[in-house]
This record gives sequence, structure tokens and C-alpha cells, in this order.
Amino acid sequence: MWREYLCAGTSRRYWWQMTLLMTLYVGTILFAVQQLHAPGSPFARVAVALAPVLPVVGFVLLELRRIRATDELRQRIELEACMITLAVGVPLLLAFGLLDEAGIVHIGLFMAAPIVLAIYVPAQMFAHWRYR
Amino acid sequence: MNNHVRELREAKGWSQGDLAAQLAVSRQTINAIETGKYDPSLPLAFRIAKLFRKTIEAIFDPEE
Repeated sequence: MWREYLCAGTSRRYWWQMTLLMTLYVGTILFAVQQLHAPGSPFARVAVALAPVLPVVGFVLLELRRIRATDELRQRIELEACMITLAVGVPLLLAFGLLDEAGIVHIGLFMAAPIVLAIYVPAQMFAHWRYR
Repeated sequence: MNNHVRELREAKGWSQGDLAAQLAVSRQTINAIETGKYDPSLPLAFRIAKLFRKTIEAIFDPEE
């Protein structure tokens, strides 16, 4: 059942592109962290710091293409997962932001994407489970 | 919405996978339709009706 769910809309080409994007992401993250405080022009520093965003954009486009290739139920499951993520993620990130402003906790803004992803994956599994 | 997809499929001797393949959807979609968890879109309902050579109303009954 989970294999059918995880592989919906995928192909060998998809997995090859996903592997390439993940490799690029890890590579750019490692490079950006290493060069974070290295001297250089402001433009170069911005380019290095933002380099990991490019594979993430590629990942989003790849996922959009995969979802468009799936059938209508799977698209509904993805939509419900997005709605759950929005419903949980917005109050959670707002709460973190307010606590940060109050000086109670400090969570870097770059953690927003992993937090959203951490909500989205179980939300997808829940939405899939509803229609199993 | 109630429907007669399971009875019609079983009368043809098809598995859920067979029907899914003929309608170009996933087996999960067929299962969700048969168990009433998911109501198909109008285009898919038309494809189902055409496959079984019936009208949409003969397959799908809106619940009161």
C-alpha cells in the first residue's frame, strides 16, 4: 500500500532528477556553511548564501509535475495535505515568531522550511490513510 | 453518494486493478469510490458509465 502511495506519479526519470537535486542541495548547503563567514564581495556572499534555494525550487517544480501526472484522488489527497499543513503550520510558525519576539525562544527563520516539511509529510500520510 | 460500481465490476469478473487500468486511475481510487469515501469527478463518472454501458444515474445515487 505504501509503495503504491510513495511511487504515485513517479518514473525512473523522476527518481534520477530527485537524486540530482538532493545531491545539489547537500552540496550547496555544505559549501554555503563553509563559506558563510569567508571574506568576499556582498554580491558573492549573497549568491553563496542563497545557492541552496535553487535546488529547493527545482524540487518544488518536480513535485508539481509529479502531482499533475497523478489521478484525481491523489490530487485531492495532496490538496488536503496542503490544507492541513497550512492549518497547522501558520499558527505554529506565528507562535514561534511571537515567542521569538518576546525573547522566550529563538528559532532561526531558515527553520521554517524544515518545520513545514515536517508537518506536510505526516499530513500527506493522514490524508492518504483517510482514502485507503 | 451510493453507487453500484462494486457490483458492476464483480459482475464483469474484474479486479479493482483491472478496472483502475481501464479507467486510467489508481486502484486506490476505485477502492475509495466503491467504499463511498470518494465521489468521482463528472468526467470520471462519465468514463465509468461508458465502460459499463449504463447512465450515470444508473450507477450513482445521491443520498437523501
